[in-house]
Amino acid sequence: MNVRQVLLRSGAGIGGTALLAGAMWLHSILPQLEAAQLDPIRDGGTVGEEIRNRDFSVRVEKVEAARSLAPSLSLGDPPPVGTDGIYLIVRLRATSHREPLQLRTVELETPGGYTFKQDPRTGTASAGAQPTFEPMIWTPATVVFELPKKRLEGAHLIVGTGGLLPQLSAAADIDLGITGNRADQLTGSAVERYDIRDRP
Amino acid sequence: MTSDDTRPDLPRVPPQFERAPDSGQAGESGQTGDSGQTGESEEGRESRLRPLDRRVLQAIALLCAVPAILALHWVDETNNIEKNLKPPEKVTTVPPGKVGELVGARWVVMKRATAQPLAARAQQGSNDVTELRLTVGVRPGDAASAIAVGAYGLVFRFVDGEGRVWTASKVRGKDPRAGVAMALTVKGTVPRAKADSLELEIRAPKASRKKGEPRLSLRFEH
Repeated sequence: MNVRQVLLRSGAGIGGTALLAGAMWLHSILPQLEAAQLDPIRDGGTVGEEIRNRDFSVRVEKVEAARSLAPSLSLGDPPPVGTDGIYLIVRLRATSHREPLQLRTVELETPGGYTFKQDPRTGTASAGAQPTFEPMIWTPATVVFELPKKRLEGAHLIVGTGGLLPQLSAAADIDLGITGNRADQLTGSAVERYDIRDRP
Repeated sequence: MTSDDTRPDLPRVPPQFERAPDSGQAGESGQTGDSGQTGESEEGRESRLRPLDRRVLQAIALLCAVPAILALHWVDETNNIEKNLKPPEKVTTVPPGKVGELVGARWVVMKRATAQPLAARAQQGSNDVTELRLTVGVRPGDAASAIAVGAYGLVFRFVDGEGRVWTASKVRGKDPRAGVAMALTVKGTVPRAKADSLELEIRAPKASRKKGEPRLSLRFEH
């Protein structure tokens, strides 16, 4: 075996090892790649704008803030349900395009990678379960988020049909238009004992 | 074939020993042996492919294998989805006033009416919706059919000609009995503009579908 052959075989060995290592690396990142590929497909928009995708249309009508929520029972005059942060109340209307559907994903995304789920506390007068949206009928819905005051700025509302299996489902990404000034304004004007049922 | 060939253990092989003194033993015997092997390997090489041809064939086989694997995967996934998640459907259209048969019961639409929207919807300020109510006559053929008609698995929905679907629900009434005709009320909130044109569709329960058969539905024309 001469030097050339030795070099050739060594090169083949190193190349083969590198290819094998590359294949294993690809295999290790494949789940993340696939997960990202199958993320819900988002359409963007702003408050007051109708955002339309293949499954539904949605329009955010109003964004409000509250320091505390009214209790669900008025018997015995229980205290309002307060928070260390702030409650953000988003009122929207939506309609489906083909068949009855529910918006199973309702989240608030804020800068810095924070995600807040809608979470009316127990004991508050909530708007009840999310309605079923039927074709050609604009049905209102109210979602309540509880978040720190400093996370208000730049918040986006994400609504979508994906529940347990959200792969490639339709979603809308709505910029709530909360700038620094607007966040201060919302915090300043936040009301006490906000009753979701009273304010259609 | 000579006797020498058949008996290789014989000590004397005349042609080799006779030629050896002329041109050198080792060289000649080696040559003779080599020429025999070369002849065989040449034949073998002729029957094999040239390296370039082999590479081309391998490339073609690879090119064919990739779509074949993809197609196989596609067919497998489709079968899997049809079997478990989205079984095929068979919709039977029933002309107005005629009787259709589903889950062993006979069905007919008897009356159609619209009503004021539900209170909840009215509160929401939707004046463009109405409640569509259909009275459906049903007669279960046997006990199993009576159970199927009274169970929750039966799906009612209103459909239009453009592929839209609205939720409909059965108003809870008397329990159906085998061989006894009864009236059911099916209602749903639909857009006012569509109320006159929507058709009722009744789908058999998922569980009633036999393996390999489509899920059955009745669609009552209006």
